Amino acid sequence: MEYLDEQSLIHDLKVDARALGIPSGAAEIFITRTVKDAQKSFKSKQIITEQDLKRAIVKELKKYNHDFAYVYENRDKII
Amino acid sequence: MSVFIPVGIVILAMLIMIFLQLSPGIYALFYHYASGKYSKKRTSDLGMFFILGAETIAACLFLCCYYFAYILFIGQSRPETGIFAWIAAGILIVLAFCSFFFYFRPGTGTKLFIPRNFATSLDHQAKTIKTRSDAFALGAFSGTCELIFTLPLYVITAIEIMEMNTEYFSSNLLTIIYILTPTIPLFIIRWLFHSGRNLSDIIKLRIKDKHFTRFILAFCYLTIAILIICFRINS
Repeated sequence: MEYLDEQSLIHDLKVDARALGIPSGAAEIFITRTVKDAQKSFKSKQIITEQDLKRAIVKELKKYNHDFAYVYENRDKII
Repeated sequence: MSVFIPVGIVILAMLIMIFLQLSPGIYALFYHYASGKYSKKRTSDLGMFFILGAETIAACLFLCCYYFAYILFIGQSRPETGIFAWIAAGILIVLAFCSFFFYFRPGTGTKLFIPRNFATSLDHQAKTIKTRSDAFALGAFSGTCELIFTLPLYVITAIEIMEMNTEYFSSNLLTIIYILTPTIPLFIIRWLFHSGRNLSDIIKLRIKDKHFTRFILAFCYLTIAILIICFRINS
C-alpha cells in the first residue's frame, strides 16, 4: 500500500497542493478536512483497499479544488 | 541516390522522437513534484539537468549506433541492398502495429506500455529527486526506457545519414538536429509549466492527444518501412 500512515499522505497532498499553486494556508485546512472526512467514510468498513482510499480522497478533494482532485486521481496514469 | 529519401526518413524518425511519451511523462511528474518541494529557481535548475541527461543519452545512443553502423557496413556491400533492409522494414512494421495497439494501455489515462511495477518505480524516483546528479541520471534513464521504440530508429537514421549525399545538405547538421530532437517535448513541457500551466492541464492535454499520438507514431513507422522497401530493397 502506498500510504501506510496519515502523515505521509498529508505530506504528499501538501506537495501536490504547492505544485498546483494553492496557497499553503488554504491547502493545510482543506487537506486536513479531506483526510478527516475520508477517514469518517471508512468507519463502518473492516478492510479498505488502496483504491477505496483514493476514491474517498478524490471525492472529498472535489469539494475544494477540481484540479487538485484531478491530479490526485490521474497522476499514476501518466506513464 | 536522391537526397530526399534519407532526409525524409530522418524527418519521420524525428517526428516519432517528438511524439514518444515516456520521457515527457516522467519529466512532467518530476517537474510537478519538484515544484511542490523546491523554489522555482531550484526546480528550473533541476529540470535543466533532467533535460541535459536525456540529451546526453540520446547523443550517446545515436553516436554508438553510428559508430557500429560505420564498422559493420563501411567497405562492404551497401546495407540497404541486403537482408538488413528487410529486417529493418519488418521491425518497423511490427513497431507501427505495436505503437497503434499497445503503446497506450486501454483505459482512461495515458498509461504506457511499460510494466506497472516499473512505472511505479519511475514515479517514485521522480518524487525523490534531490540533487542535480539525480535529475541528470533520471533524465538519462528516461531516455533508455523507450529503447524498444527508439533503437531501430537510431540505427536506421545513422545508416541513412552515413550514406547521404552531402552535396546539398550537411549530414553533420542533420545529425545535430536529430540528436537535439528528443528534448523538444521536454522543452515544451518546461515552457508549459513556466507559462503557469500545472500537471492537471498537461494530463488533460496528453489524454486529448492520445489517439492522435498513436496514429502519428504508427503512420511514421509504417511510412519509413514503406520508404525502405521501395527505395532501399528494390533500388
